[in-house]
Amino acid sequence: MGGQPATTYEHWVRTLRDWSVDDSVSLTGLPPLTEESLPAGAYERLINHIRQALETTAAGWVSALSKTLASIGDPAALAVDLVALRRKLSRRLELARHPALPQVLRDAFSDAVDRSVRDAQQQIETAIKNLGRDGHTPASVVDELHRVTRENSFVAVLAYTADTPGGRFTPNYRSTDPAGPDHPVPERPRVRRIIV
Amino acid sequence: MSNRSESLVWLLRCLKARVPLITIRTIEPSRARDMVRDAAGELRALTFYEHSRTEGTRELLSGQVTSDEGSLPVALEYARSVFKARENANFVFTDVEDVDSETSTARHFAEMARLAESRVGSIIMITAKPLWTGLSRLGMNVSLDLPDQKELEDEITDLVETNRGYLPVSWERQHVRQAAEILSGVTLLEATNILATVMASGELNEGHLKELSHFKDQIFGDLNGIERVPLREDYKVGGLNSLKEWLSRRRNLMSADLTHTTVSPPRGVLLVGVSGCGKSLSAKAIAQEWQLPLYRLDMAAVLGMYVGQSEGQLREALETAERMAPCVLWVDEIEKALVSGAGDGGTSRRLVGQFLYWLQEHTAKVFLVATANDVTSLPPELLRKGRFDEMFFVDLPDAHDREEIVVMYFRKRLEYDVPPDLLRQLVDLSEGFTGSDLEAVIRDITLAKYNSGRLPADAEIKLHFTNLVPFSKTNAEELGLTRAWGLTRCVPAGTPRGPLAEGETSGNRRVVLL
Repeated sequence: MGGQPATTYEHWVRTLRDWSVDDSVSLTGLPPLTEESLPAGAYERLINHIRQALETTAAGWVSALSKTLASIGDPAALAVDLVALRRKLSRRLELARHPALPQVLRDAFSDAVDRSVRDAQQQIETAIKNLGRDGHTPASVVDELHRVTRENSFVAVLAYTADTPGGRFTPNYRSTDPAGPDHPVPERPRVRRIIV
Repeated sequence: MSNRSESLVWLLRCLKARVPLITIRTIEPSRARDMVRDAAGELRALTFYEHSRTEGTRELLSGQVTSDEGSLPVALEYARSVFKARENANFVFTDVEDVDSETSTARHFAEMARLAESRVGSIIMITAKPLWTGLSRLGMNVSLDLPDQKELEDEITDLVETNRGYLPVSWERQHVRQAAEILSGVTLLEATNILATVMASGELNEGHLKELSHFKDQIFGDLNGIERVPLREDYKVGGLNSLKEWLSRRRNLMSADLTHTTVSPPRGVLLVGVSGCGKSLSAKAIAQEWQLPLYRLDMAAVLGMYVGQSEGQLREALETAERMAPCVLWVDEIEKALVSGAGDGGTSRRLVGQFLYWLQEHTAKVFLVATANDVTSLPPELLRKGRFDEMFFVDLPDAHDREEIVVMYFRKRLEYDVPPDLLRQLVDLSEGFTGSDLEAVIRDITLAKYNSGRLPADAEIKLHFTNLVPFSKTNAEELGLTRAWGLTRCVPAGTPRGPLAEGETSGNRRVVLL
């Protein structure tokens, strides 16, 4: 389907369809959605489309998580996987917390994503615990895997913020404007003073 | 290896050249970080970020935190986003593990280096270990050496001057130089810790220089293969005029600042001689005389059971000795470790080669005192002219030295001054005795006194001397060979003399008084 979308409904549906299968598609520019902005049936169908898009994204993510869980062993490789999974996970926040959604939907979708993120974190921690119990993996490696899952926790994604309204959710990196008010005093060479 | 200022120049060139991966190898990450900070200060048009596991990612010069998360992959993710967003960004990574072989972390860094290259960015890695070749070949590497004399002097000067107003400090420039020399071989942080601990006594005076060595020892105390030998104040050397004169001519070279001269510090001596004649004690006496710490290289601890292990451990031990400089390094019975022969898979040959290379090439103020009894088993290449500064032969004690030793041991063990007449007879009876023989016979007399509750009569004392068969008789053949070898190939440790007739003993030897 080509050309400019004619209606709010069409705009949403077409974007959601593309977004759920293509990571590069952005959700910026979606028109605000209210119950009154669409006929009752169309509104319900659109909510289903949104739910569907979230589920498709979640399914892709769960599949990636399963691959990670199946090959847990190298802590460094796990850390890299977890960060990549966090990046993918943040896409669900883009839609669940989209400013064009009505507040009530935003809350409902956000809660669902929140629960699923915490469940996933729990799932991976349990998988590592089980790995420790089976006796095949050295305790030091299991400890390292635990450290890695804590350091790269999925839950951190919930603190991500959108870079633009409706845009990508990224870690909350702070600005490094040297003129900013919160800048600490630069470190100076330290010379020790002895306490007399 | 480069010192700090050379490394800084090199780093600036790499940054200006926009090398995508710059590796600084060092065991002092904070010193390397300070150096990178200096470079960033000179290149203010570029932005530098620094990651550490404890503090996350922050802007290097301002210290402003950009991400609290300490996770390395998160930091790399941030670097990825910054590299994609802008050109000329720089990221410094310090405590990175598992990059010395082809691991997932090393491959991840390699990908990041390639991204940095495409975005004119630079990744600076500060690491103690060498990088995996596939990674290091993407950039340039430098090894930051331990602080040199000048850097230590600057650091010590800062510390001393900062505290001069608060503490009684009598150190002047020459004391700072001496302190820097004593502390050479330690990291900048260790040097600061040592000096600050010394200053925490409440003052800083000339006497504290000695304390620096003591603290430095504690740092190296548990290193494999090197053992600190405690010295006593009362070592006194009698005889050995040639050796003493030779040593006195070189003493200053071990403490002087030779930086801007073409003079090298002395490398060491080989003391060859009869067992029990005090060669080992000479090492202690030299260290005591030169006021330097004495370390014993324990070759038994160095020799390992696996292929390549001995070589690795010897290298580590010799590197440690260099870090302990200035010092005296004593290798007792060197022939036992570096025996030339087959049947060990070539380990001995490799150890000899490694040892000789070190002996010839090292520039640290490490004075080697090696002792050997069985010179015939020493590899000839070790004895070639120029390996040691000099080879000295220590012979059996002559009559005068035997007299000194007898008097000394009678006083020490029996608290008895031997009457002159008896002393003369004992000296005659002990012809051909080694120092150890004399000690052994007087130990027997001490036992006899303990058992009977009285000092044995003169006749009994003489009988003890007569009954002892000295080393020169039990091992006459070995002694003959050693002496024949030593007197033709070595400088006599005592006053030079002509060749020996059969059964003749040499004069002018040394005595180490305990």
